[in-house]
Amino acid sequence: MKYNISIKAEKKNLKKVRTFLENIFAQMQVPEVERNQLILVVDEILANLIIHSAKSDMQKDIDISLSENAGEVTFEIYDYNSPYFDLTQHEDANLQDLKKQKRKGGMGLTLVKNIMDEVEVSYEDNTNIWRLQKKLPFLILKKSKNTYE
Amino acid sequence: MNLTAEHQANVYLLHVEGDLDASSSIILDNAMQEAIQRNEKAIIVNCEKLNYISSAGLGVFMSHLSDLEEKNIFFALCSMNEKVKNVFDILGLGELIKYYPNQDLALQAVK
Repeated sequence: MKYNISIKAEKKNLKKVRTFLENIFAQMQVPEVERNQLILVVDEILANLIIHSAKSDMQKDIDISLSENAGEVTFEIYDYNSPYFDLTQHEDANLQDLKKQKRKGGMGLTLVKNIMDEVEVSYEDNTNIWRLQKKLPFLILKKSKNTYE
Repeated sequence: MNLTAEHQANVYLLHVEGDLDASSSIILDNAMQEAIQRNEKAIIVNCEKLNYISSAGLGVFMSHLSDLEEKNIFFALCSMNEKVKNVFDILGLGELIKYYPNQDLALQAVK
């Protein structure tokens, strides 16, 4: 099953995407903590894209898809008309440095990388395509249990 | 997100309710900023009714830690639900920010 949602790059739409994902993960019976982690990951990436989009003064569209196959959840996020984002250049947050620099940002991608099993960004036609994957073994267990019931 | 504030003795208590994300974190940021400027003796953020927090919300706390230390203001968070505490823990923020499971324990720590 694949689910899709498209938004304009505006902060007010973050809640809309979270509610969309919350409903899907509730149907999939993903436990609350893991559900929150998955929603957070998408929220963090969207927040980054929206903030950068606002800097370039261009209101763009962002497409998000969610699929689940054999207990693995995959998100794809399409960030159109963007310069290449080189994920390999990202360094995990150093909390002492953030404190010293009185920075509000800098922790989002660290959260994403800590939560997901795989995070990739590919670049095609001026579009960064984020692909995030996480195995949720209990989804397979739940399905096999349902099969026997 | 809703923010309410009260004083209990020398402690400034902020109660955060709802979702603290990139869109709403500015409200908390302003409240923290004002409390620090007023030289409150202690600030406790009660997260009992906080449903969701992203790095933008946690970043507000991080960005004020140096000023809080410099002004010798006691600062702590308390009463997070399991999913909010999980995000706090993934980043290892317990190293830098005091956390108490309930408000009474946080208030006791001030004294």
